Amino acid sequence: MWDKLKKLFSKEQPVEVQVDIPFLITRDWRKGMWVVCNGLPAILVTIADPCEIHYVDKKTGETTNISFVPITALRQAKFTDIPECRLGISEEKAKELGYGT
Amino acid sequence: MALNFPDTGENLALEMIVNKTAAQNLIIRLYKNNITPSDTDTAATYTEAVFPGYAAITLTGASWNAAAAGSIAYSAQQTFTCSGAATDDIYGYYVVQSVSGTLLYSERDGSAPFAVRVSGDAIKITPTIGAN
Repeated sequence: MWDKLKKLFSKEQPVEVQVDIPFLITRDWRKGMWVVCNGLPAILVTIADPCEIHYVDKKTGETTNISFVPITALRQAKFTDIPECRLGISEEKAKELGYGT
Repeated sequence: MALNFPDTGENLALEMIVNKTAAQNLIIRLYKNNITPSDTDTAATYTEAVFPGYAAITLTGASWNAAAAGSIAYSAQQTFTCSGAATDDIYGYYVVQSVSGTLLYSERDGSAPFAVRVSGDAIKITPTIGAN
């Protein structure tokens, strides 16, 4: 009985509640980085929202179009996404820079 | 646009800071292919200008001003002047080491391309590197 009374008149005890907070995903964006947007290879030119990207022709490696897109529309390019003629580094080096397969 | 140090240029700069690799004079060259600099670039990525009167310019170490406020600038503006009829469209410049030829950095002009067509057309650059 005393226990029940104590519980009734005691301060509310904090209750631990587990809340599902979505992870805040941050990426290590950098200027000059190869990205993919709408399935096309591009180079990240400014890091902002929207950010400036330059789409690159897969055969010539030259710029085809300049666009401003939400940064959430980008993903880092994979090794195979980068135009071959623009690959001045080895696959190993590319992996170190995050361009995995 | 901002300077872009590709992976090779970043590594080279780091090695020069700690005196693992000796510094060299730099050479500034204009490029005429429609390239946006990226971190996988090498000097071979760029197609050098060929208009009449064009010549790459050597930037000698002693001619750089003292660094200040996280930035270092060359003492004088450099001018590439065309001396005849030409068809080059210039998109920017790239800087390599004078002996190794390794690409250190490059920059695409924000309003590229610049059409070089007649004698007297000129492109002026004051080389500047910022560390901020």
